[in-house]
Amino acid sequence: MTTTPTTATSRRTLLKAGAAGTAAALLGTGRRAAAQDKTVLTWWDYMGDPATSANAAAAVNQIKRYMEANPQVEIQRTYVPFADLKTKLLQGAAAGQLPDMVIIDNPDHQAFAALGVLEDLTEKVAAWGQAGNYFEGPWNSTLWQGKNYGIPDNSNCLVLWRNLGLSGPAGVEAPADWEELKAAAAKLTSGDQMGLAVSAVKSEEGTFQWLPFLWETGADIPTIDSDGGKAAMQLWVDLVNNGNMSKGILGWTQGDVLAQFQNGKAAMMVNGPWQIPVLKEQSPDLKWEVSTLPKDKQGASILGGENYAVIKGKNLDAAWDFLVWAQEPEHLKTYLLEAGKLPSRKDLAQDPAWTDDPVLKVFVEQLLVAKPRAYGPKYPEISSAIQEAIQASISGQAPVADALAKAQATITPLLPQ
Amino acid sequence: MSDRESARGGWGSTVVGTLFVLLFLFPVFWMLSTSLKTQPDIFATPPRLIPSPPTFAAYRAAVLDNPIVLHSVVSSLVIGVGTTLLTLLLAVPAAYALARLHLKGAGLVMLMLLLSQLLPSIVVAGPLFVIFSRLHLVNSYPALILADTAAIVPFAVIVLRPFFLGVPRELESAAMVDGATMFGAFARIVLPLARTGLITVGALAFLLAWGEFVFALTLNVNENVQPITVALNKMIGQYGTRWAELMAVSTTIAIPIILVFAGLQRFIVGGLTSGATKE
Amino acid sequence: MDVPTLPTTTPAATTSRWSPAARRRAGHYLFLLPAVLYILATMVYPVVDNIRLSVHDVTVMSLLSGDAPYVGLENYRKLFADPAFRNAAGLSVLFTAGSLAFQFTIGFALALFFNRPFPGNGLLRALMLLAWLLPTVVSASLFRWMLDGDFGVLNFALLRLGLIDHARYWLLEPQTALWGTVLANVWIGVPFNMVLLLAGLQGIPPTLYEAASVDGANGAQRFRSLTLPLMRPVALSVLLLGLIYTFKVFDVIFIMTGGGPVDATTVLPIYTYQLSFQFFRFGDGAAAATVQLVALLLVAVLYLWASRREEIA
Repeated sequence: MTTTPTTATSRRTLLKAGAAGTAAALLGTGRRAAAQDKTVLTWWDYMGDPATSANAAAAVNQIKRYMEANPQVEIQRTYVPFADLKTKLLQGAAAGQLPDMVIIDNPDHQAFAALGVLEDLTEKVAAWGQAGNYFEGPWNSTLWQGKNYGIPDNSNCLVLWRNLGLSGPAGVEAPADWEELKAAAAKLTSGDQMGLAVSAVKSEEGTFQWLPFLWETGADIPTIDSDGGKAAMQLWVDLVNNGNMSKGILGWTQGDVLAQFQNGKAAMMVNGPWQIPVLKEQSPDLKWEVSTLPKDKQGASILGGENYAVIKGKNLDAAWDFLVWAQEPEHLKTYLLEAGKLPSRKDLAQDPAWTDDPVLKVFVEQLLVAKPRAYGPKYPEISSAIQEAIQASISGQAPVADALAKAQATITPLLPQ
Repeated sequence: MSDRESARGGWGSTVVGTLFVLLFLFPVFWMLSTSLKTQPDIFATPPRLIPSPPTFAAYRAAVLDNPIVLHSVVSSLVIGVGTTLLTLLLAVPAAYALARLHLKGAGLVMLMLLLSQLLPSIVVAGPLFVIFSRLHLVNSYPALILADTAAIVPFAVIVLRPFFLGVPRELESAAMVDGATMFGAFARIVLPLARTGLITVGALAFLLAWGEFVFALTLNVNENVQPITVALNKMIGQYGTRWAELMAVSTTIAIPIILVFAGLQRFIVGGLTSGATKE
Repeated sequence: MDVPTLPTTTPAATTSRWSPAARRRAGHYLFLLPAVLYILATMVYPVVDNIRLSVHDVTVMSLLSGDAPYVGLENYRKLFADPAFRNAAGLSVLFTAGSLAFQFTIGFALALFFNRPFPGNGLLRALMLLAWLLPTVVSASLFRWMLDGDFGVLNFALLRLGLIDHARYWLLEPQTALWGTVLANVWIGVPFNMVLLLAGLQGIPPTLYEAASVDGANGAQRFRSLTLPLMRPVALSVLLLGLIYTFKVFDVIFIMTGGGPVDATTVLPIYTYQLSFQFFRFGDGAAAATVQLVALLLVAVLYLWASRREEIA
C-alpha cells in the first residue's frame, strides 16, 4: 500500500483512499515514494487553490499537460500563500527542506539570488540561446551580479477597470488624468457604492498598487519624500477622505478589490489581467471595460509577474527540462491565456491573441510604460517601509509628509549604492 | 440537590442566563448566517439577519467541491486525536506527582512547566523546525503532533494538578494502608476520582490541537498534512473579504467542536465534587 | 496527614536500593520523568537556541552559513533604544491588562451565576464554551468580519442604536484597532475564565457552606468569608494562565490586523515575528523574545512564591 502521488489533480483519489492513506501518511516522513520509478519534481508557488483561482487552475493544467507529455516525471505542486512564501523559503533553506523549483514574485528574485539558495542558470541559458526573446524588464529581474538565476514566467501590469453597468447613461468616460479620475470617482459614488477601489493592504500588493501613481508624478522610490511622492499619496488620502474610496482598502488584497467591483460596491478599480478569467467565469453578466491608468505628469504602470527559479543543488536537469518545455511559445500561450497573464516574450506579445483582443490589447499597451521594481536585494525591506507610509497616511496615523519623510529615512540606506 | 429543587429555585436565572448567552453567542450565529448567504447578500445594507433564501453555495464552493479543504479536515482529526493521547499519557502522571508526591525538585519542575508556558509558539517554531528536519519529520503528522503536545502538556499539567489536589487524601491513604502499591492506588483510586479532570483536559487538548495554527503554519508545507486552520488562513490570504466562503469554512471547523462538546458536556457539568463523593 | 513521607536524608545514603522506601521514591519519579524529558527536549532546546541567537548578529545570510558574529549584548542595546520596541511593550501591557480585566471580571461573575443550580444551567454553560473552543483563526476572522467598516454588523447595530453617527473602520483606525482585538480576545477568554473559576467554586465542599448556613451566615457573608478566600489559589492560577496566554497572543492579532494600521496593534509577539520573519533580523528577534521570556519569568516566580505561601498557609 502506498499513498497516492499527491499532485493537485490526484488529491481526490487520495481522499478516497481514506483511512488507508491517512495511516500511511502518518507513518510517512514527508518523503513520498512515487509508485513507479518516476523523477519527482517538487514545486512551490503562490497562485492559490485551483478550486477558487483561475491562475492556480492554469498552473495545474500546465503541469498536467507536461506530465502527459513526459510520463516519467511527477510534478508535486504545493500552494504557499503569497505573504508566507519568503518565510517558507528561508526556513526551508535553513533546514534543507526546499522544493526543486519555485515560482516567485519578480521583485524578490534578486533577494533570493543574493541569499545563495538559487541555482545559477547562466550556462544553461547560454546554451538555450533564447534570452534575446524576452523583454528587458522581466529578464533583468532574474539577473544578480551578472548571473542568471531564473526565467520569467509571465508579466502583468495594472490598469483601470470600469463597471459599465453602473456607469450607465450618466456614466463616465475612461478618465485620462488624475483630475478626471477624481471627478469620475466622485460622480460614481452613491450610497454604499464607492467610486474607486485599490488595494492598500500591508503586503507587497499594497506597494504594487501605489507605485504606478508615484512614478506618474515623475518621482521614484529614491525620491519618495518629494512633491511627487506627496502628491501621489495625497491622491489616495483625498479619495478616501472624500468618501470616494473606502478606508477598507487598508485591508483589501487585490482579490478583495475584485470582489468589491464584482458586487457593484466599487464602480472602478485598479487591478491586473489575472482577474480577467475570474471575472469571466464568476460574473459573466458584468459589463466592464479597461483603460490605461490615468496620467499625471506622465503615464506609468508597474511591471508585475512571476519568475521560475531552480533551487541550488536539487534537481536541475528535470527542472530545466520543464522550463524549456513551458517556455516553448505554443505551450506558453495556452497557459498564459488561461491564467490571464501577459507574455514576457517579445515573440508572443505580437501574437493576435493579445494584440487583437479588445481587453488584452489595453494591457499590452499599458505594459509599454510599465516599470519594473529593480531596487536590489533589499527591495522587500524597502517595500515594507512604503507599506507603512501608505498605512500611516490613509489611516490618519500620521500626516502624509511625516509618513513619507520616515519612509525616506528608512529607504535611503537600503538602496543599492 | 434534586432537579425538582433546582427547578423551583431558578426559572428567573434561566431567563437571564438564556438572554445573556444568546447575546454572547451572536458572533457564532452571525458566522452561520453569513455562511448561508450569497456574495451580493453579504454586501447588502442593511445586513439581513437571516439569509433569504439560505444557500449552500458557499459550502459547495469552499468545502464540498474543494478536496484540499476536505482533506485538511481529516488531517486536523489525526493531529487532534494523536495530540490528545500523547498529552494525557505525559501529563496525567506528572500532574499527580506534582500534586501529591512531595518530590524533591517538584518546585523546579513546576517552574519549568510554567517557563515553557511562557514561550510564544513563534519563538519555539523555528528551532523545532530545525530539529524536526534533522529527524526527517518535517511535513508529517508526527511533527505536528509532537509540537502541539509540547505546547499543551504544560497547560494540561497545570490544569490537572488542582483536580488531583481535590481528591481526598483519606481515600488514597486507605488504599495504601490496604496494601495497594503506589501505582495501584493511583490507577484504581485516584484516576477514577479525577475522571472529570481527565476528560476535561483530554477534551481541551483535542480542541487546542484542532485549533492550533502557528506550528501548523511553520512546521509544514505539505497540503496532505495541513490542518484546516491553515487551510482557512490560506483562504484569508487570497480573498480576505469573501465572507460567505470564509464563514462556511469556519462553520465547518466549528462542527466537530460542537460534536465533541455535546458528547462530553455532562462530565464537565458534573464537576469535581460529585466525582469524589460518589465512590 | 501526608501519605508518602520522604526521608530527610539523601536517597543514596539511606538503604539498599530494594528497600520499599527507595522503590517507592523511584516510582514517584517515574511519574514525572516522561513529561520532564519531553519538555526538556521540545521546549528547553528552543530557549537555549534563542538565547544563543540573541547574542549573535544573525541575518538571513549568516543563518544559512552559520557564521554569525558574536556581538554580546549589542542586540539588546539596540532593542531598548528602538522606539518601536517601547511602543510594542506598551501595547502588550495595554492589550494584556485590558483583556484580563474584562475577561476575569466577566468570567468570575458568570462562574458565580452558573454555580447556582437552575434549569438549563448545564446547557447554557456548554453553549458559552463554544466561544473559547472555536479555533482562534476562526474567531479572529469572524471578528474581523463583524468589525468590518463597510459591511460589518457592529457598525450597523451601533448606528441603529444611535451610539455612533457614521461607520467606523474599527480595525483600520489607530485609535480603535487595539480595542477591536481586545474585544475579540475577551470574547474568547471569558468562557475559559468562567470554566476554571467554576471548577474552583465547585471544588469548595458544599458541607462548608452548609455548616456556615447552620451558623447563620447569609449569602454575602458566605461569599466574603468562604468563597473569596477559598477561591484565591484558583483565581491566582487563572489570572496567571490568563496573563501568559494573553501576553503571547499572536494569531488573533495577526489575522485581525497584522499588527496595523502601521504599528497600532504591534504587540511584542507581533514585533518579534516581524523582526525574525519579515525583516529576517533573527538576532534582534531572538533578543526581543528573550526579553519577553524574562518578563514573564518574573511573573511566574511571583506566582510560585504566592502559591507556595498559599499552600503552606
